[in-house]
Amino acid sequence: MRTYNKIIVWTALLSAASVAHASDELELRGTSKEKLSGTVTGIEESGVIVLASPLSDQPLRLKPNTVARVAFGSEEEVKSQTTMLVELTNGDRLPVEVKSYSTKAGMLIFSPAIGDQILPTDVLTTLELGIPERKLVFEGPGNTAEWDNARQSGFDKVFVEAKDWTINGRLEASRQVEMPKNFVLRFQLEWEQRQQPNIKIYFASPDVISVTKADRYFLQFNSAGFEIKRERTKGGGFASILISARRPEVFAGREVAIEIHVNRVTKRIELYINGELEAWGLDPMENAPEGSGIILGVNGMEGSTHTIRNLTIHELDNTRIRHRAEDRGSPDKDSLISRDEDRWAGELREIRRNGKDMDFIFQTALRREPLEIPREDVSTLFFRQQADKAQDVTTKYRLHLRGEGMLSVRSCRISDKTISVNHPLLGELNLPKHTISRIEPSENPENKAEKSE
Amino acid sequence: MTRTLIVFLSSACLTAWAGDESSIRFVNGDHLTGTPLSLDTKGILWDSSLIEQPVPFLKEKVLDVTLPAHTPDLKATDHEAVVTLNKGGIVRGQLSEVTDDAVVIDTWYAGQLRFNRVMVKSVNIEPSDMVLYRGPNSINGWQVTPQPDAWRYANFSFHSTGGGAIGRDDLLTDECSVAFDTEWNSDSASYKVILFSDTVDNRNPKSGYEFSMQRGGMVLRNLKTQAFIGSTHSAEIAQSNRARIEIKASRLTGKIAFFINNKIVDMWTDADLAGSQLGKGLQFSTSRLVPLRISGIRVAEWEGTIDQPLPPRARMRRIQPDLGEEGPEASEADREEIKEGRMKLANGDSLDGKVKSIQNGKVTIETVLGDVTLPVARLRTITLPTADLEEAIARNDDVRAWMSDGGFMVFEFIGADQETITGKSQNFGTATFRRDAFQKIEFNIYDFDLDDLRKQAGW
Repeated sequence: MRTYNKIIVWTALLSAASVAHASDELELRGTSKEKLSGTVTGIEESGVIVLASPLSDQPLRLKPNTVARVAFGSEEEVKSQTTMLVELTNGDRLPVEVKSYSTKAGMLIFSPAIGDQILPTDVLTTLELGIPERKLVFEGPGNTAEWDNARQSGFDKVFVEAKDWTINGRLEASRQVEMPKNFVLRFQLEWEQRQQPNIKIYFASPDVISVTKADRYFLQFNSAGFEIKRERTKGGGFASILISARRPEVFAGREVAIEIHVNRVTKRIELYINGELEAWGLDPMENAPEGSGIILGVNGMEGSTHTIRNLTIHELDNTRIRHRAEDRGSPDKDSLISRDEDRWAGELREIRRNGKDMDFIFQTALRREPLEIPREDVSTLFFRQQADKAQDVTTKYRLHLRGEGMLSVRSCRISDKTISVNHPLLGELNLPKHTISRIEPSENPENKAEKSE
Repeated sequence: MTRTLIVFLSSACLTAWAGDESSIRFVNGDHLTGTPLSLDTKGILWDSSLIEQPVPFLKEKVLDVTLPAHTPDLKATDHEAVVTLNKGGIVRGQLSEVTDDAVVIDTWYAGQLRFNRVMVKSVNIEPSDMVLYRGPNSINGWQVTPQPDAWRYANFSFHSTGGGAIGRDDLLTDECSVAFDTEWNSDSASYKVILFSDTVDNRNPKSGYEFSMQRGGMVLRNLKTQAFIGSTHSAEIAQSNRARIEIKASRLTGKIAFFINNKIVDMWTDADLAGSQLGKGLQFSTSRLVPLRISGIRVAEWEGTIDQPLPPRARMRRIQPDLGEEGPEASEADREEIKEGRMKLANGDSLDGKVKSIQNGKVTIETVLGDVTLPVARLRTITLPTADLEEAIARNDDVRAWMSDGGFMVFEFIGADQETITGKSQNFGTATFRRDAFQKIEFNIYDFDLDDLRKQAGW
């Protein structure tokens, strides 16, 4: 096929994919993992969930307590605009940017999900700061000239648009990147209708394409689902680290966002699918592979295409892990932990603007004058817990925010683009629908596992 | 278009079906359990315990409906004729008539079915009294180990949900054939089949014959002696995620034959098998958390003969001096195939002739030496009068209806009531079937984009 014709075909394919609608998915509490999809048009006070389904001319009214999870499809991306994480007394966690704080007025925050909001002091448990933007070390796939290919002619099968590759048939391409010790490999994959995806992506690989075995990891995704394996030079064969039986057919629009978290210190590998933790496992070998290579292997039939988009490698951020390991100290006082690991007990009086930055005014018993600590020096704040204040925090649903965060709510109503909730601590809130990734009943036991992530 | 209403169940009889849940799958991958209340040309009215009111689903959105089906007692008959249509079905029943124009069978679900000769590709005979088990129809009688939930039963299949074994005792005879469909939700097969197990409540029995499937390979071991007996490899299995496996084993001769997708792959002889004290159990075992599905299990007596030649590769191995000459197998494997057009008999003989009449389970065959009368059950194939084969016309409203015996028919829906479904096809004209003959009805069967989805086991 001439190049001109190829471009037309691929452009048509890409256009067709871009109009695919991301539907909401309902996981039901039936006897055999039942599932429905469509658009959730309402969650009523009674607990009835109303689904507009393409399968019927009539809306489907799901009885209360029959839905284990509602996963919202969205084409709108939620850009991270926050560097702090606040935890409330009921365990809810919310990515925020603090605008101001005083003991009397509470904390004025901005959240992509709930906008500007005042959080009363007595609902606060923790404020974690310096949740950084993850350091980007590679973005691609990009220019094919920067990749190696055993048969250079193989790149004739690659159509590059921006940094994305659409690959016709088979391809195996490799390159080195400045892969950090702990990293996040992320990309989107799309495949053609009536075809099964078939990819194998190596990472932490010592060098370029090699027929001999190497110490490295690889993800394979095909008609059987996902599996991450550890290839090893000693001991023979491969060790399976994690498996997910989610087959390609479950992804509406034949597209999936794949994210792999690799911690080579703890040897823990996590697989996220469409932003949700799907499975994790441990590398059984004594040492994690040390390589910095990546190999893209696509094993499609001639005439069928795979598209790889937004391939990025970020540094894996351990700040959150460190924050959660901090000892909160005495619960009847506020505690401030600095980046130098200094610990102060006392009272947070104020958070106030200081030009473009922000200062934390913290009164300790050790000084008459309060400390004025710049934001960049603060790691974690633990707020005094009021044991005498009994609050009814019984909730009905748990809302998982897209990206990070979670809110437990008493009631939940859905309109076209907004989800209105009654939060036990914050009252009535209106959230843009695209900021919510999923809703689960609060009693869902899976939620316990989620909190410990 | 006339709107035909097919009522599966009136609301009055809903409770009668409460224990037999059906399921419906859709073209977008959604699925539900529940009860079909009615079917018309527009769609299916479905009652689900999860949804407030019965929902009318659009027929063009339905992939298939799985129903509770009845399994007949085969012992009431002496044979089953398997009629394979040139297009649109494999149908089982008792052979009633073979003429220049038609093949007629008696069925428990539709009375007499008369197939147009030009639509019939072949007729094979299976003796009913040799079938020891056909299923699964439930998990009753099977033992699951080590955890009771390691396997579950659904839709005429066993599904593994973790590492474990499912087995049934007192099933196998001295010479038997075990056939089953297997499907794995992984890029590679990884499971074991154990014949002649003595302890089906133990996933690691101490005696029996273990067929260990790994990717495209199969290794056969004697569990008592731990001796390696043989191995083989199949590209068909390595490149797929499903296969029909058949194992034929004789404790009298020590012969074990292995078939994949109805073709013999290899055959071995284990001297330790002959005359040994073994159990009668059959087990399926998975060791990994890779879901496996087993369905279409058929266990039958085996007459000890193989009517297929071994593939060349397997035959070459047998004549290598260092592997030892295996005389009886080699000679049998090299046996000349029966010429086309001759009727095969149960003992391996063949007959050239034409069916003259069938009466009271006996067939009279006109041969050049005169008429020969014998029980239909002694035949293995029927030679049909010569004809130019034709294919039934495909119609928009065609459905593919699967029966619990593994057979299926494609026909156009023309009507139904609470107990029956009526269909029309060029293969058999118009027929009315018992509704409980069908375990699954597929819709939109000519939308080939749905084929991949249709093959999914519902893991």
